[in-house]
Amino acid sequence: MSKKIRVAIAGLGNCASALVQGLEYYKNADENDFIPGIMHVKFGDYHLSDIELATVFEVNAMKIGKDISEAIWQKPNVCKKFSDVPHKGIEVLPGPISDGVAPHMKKSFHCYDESSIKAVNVAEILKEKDVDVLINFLPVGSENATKIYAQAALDSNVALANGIPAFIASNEEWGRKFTEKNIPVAGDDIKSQLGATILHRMLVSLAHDRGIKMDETFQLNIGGNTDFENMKKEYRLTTKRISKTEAVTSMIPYEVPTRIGPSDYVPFLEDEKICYLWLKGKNFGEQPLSVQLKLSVQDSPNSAGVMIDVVRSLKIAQDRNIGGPLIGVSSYFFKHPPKQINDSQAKELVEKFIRGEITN
Amino acid sequence: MKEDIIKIAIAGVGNCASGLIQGIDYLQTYEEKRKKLLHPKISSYEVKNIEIVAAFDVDKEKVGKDVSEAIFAPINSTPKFIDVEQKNVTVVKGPLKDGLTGHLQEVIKVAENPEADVTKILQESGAEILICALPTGAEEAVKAYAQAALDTEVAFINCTPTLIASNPEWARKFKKSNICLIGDDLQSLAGGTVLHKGFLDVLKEQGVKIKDTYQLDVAGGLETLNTLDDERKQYKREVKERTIRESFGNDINLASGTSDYLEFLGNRRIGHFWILGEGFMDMPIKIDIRLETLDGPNAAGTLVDVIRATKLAINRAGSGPISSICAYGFKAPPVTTERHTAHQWFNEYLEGIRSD
Repeated sequence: MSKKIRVAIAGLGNCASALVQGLEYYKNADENDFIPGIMHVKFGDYHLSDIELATVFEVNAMKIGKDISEAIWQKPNVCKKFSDVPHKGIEVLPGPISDGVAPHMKKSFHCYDESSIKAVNVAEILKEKDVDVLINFLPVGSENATKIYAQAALDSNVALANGIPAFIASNEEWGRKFTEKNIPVAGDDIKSQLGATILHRMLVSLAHDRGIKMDETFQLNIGGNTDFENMKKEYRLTTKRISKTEAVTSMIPYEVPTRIGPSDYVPFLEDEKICYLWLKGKNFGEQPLSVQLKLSVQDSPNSAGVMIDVVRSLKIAQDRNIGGPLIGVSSYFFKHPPKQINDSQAKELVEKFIRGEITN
Repeated sequence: MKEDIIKIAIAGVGNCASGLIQGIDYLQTYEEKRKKLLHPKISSYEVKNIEIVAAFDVDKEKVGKDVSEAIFAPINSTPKFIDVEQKNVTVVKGPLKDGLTGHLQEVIKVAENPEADVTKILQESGAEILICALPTGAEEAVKAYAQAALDTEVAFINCTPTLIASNPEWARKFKKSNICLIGDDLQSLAGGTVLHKGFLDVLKEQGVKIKDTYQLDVAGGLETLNTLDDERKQYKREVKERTIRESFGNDINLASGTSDYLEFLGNRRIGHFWILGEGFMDMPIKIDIRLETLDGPNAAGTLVDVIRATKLAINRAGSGPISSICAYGFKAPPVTTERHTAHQWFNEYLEGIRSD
C-alpha cells in the first residue's frame, strides 16, 4: 500500500487553486490539535500531507506550460491567496477542450488555439504519472469534456472525483462502467463545506422534522468568479439546477414551490459568494412563519475543504479493492449523489466507511 | 363637476393597469385614505377623478372583456384589493408588433380579433392621456402607440424603458405638435431603485465614500419573466445603473437589477441590498437590507401622481417632455437629478413656480 495519494486535476480554476494552496497550508497540521477549517486532519490512514499533486490539465493558454505553483495565480482565477506555494515541478498540460469552454467564456478563459496546440492524451498521462485519483473541476455545463475525462480514468484504472454536475457517479450507465472495472468513483457536483446547499438542506429538514408545512422556499446565489460568469447562460445550467434543486427538495416528502440556482454574476464580488435563503411556512394553528438568511463565503476554499476528504475516500476504496460509485461518500460530499441520504446519516456512513465497517 | 375628470387610455392591461384601476376605485370607496397620499390633490384633481375610457391589449383572456374584469385575468398577479365596478370600457386588441417575444409567447395566447385602429379609438373615447404600460422591450409596439398619441394629439406617458421622452427625436415631434410627453421607465413609489438611491444619497451627504453596492431583486410578475431574456435584462440594468452612475461616477462597483423570475412570488418583489462604504479613517460601513413589495400597487402609486400632473400640464398647454414630472416619476427621464431635487421640481411645477 503506497502511502502517498497521487492526484491529477482537470481544470486549474479557483477550486484547484484553493486545493493546491490548502495542501501547503495544512501540510504540518497535527492530528491531535484542533485545526481550523478542515473536517479530518487524518482520514483513515491518510494525513492531508499524503495528498500529492501529480499532473494538471487546462485549456487556458496563459496557464499551459507554466508550473502549477505559478498557474494558480493566473487570471481569471480570483481565489484569495492564503498560502505560498513553492515550485512544484509540475507543468500544466493542455487538456481536451470539447464543450468545456462556452462561446461567451472563450475570452475569459483565454482558451488555447487548437491549430497550434494539441491536447494531450489524458489516459496516457494518467498512467505515465502514476495517478491514483483524478479530480474533475471543469466548468459547469462541460458535459462531453467530463465524459472524456471519465473515460480516461476508466482506461487508466484511476479513481474519479467528479466535482461538477455532469452526471457520472449518479448516472446508471457510467456508474456501471466504473463498477465493471472495479474503479471507485465519487460524485456528482461537490457540496461545499458550509455552503448554500447544506444550509438549505438542514433548514428544510429541520422545518419538516418540527412539523412545519412549507409554502415556498428560495435560494439565490450571486458571485463574481468565472463559475458565475459561465452560468450566466441558462443552457449551461440544466444539470446544475437539477443538482442543486434535488439536493434540497429530496429532503421534503411533498412538493413545495422552490427556486434554487445561481442567480446573478456580480464581477466585483470576485470569489466571494453570497447566498440568500428564504423559507415560508406554517406552524401550529397554521400560523405563519418565515426564515431569511444570508450566507457570505469565499467560494473556492469552501469546495476544496471537502475535496481533500473525497480524494482520501477514493484512495481508501482503492486500497480495499472497492469499485463503482461510493454511496455514503457521494451523498455526504456531493449535491447529486447516486442516492440522497440526509446529512447526519451520510456523515455516519462516511465515518463507518473510514473505519472499514462498511464497504460502500 | 364634469370638467374635473381626467380621461385616460391605457395600452397594456397588466399588473400596472390593475394597480391603477383598483387604486382609483379604492380611493373612491375609502375617501379617508386620500389623506395618506403624497398628493391628495393635484391642482383640483383627486385620484378618483381619473377615468379610464379606453384599454388596449393583445391577450385572448383580456380582449373583449370589460376592463374591470380583464385586470383580474389569471395572468395578472396583482392581488384584488377591491371589487372594481363595471367600467363599460371593453379591452380592444391593440397592435401586437414586437409586444410578445421569448418567454412571454409561451404563456400568452394572442386574441384572434383584428387589430383595432388606435387613433380612431383614442379620438372616439375622448382620451386626453395615453398610458403605455407594455412589456419591457416591446420597442416597436411602444413606438406605434407613441405615434398614435401624436396623430390624435393625446398626451403620452411611457412607463416602459423604451426611450421616447428621453429620445430627442420623439421629444421634438411632441414639442412641435404641442403635446405633453412623459417618461421613460416608470419608477415604483417605494421600490428598489428609489430606496437604493436614497441610501446612497444619505451616505454621500454624510461624507461616506461608496465602494461596492448591489441591489438585486427577484419577482414573480410577468414583467420579470419577460426580462429574463438576456438582452432585455441587460437593457433594463443599463437604465437602472445609469441613473446611479450619474450621481456616483464610474469608480463605484455597482450591480443593480432583476436576477430571477420566481413564479410562486406572484406580484411580490423581494430585493436584497448591500452597500459597502468607507467613513472617517476609512472605517468600513456595511448595510444589508431586504425589501419586499408588491409591483402593481407600487407602480400605480407613482402613476396616479404622474397622471394628474400631466393633466395639469395639458391645462397649461405644455408641450414635449415636462422635465419635472419625468424626473419625479421615472427611472430614465430626459433630465436626471437627485431625488430631493426631483420632488422639489415636481412640487414647484404643481404650484406653477416652474414652467416645465
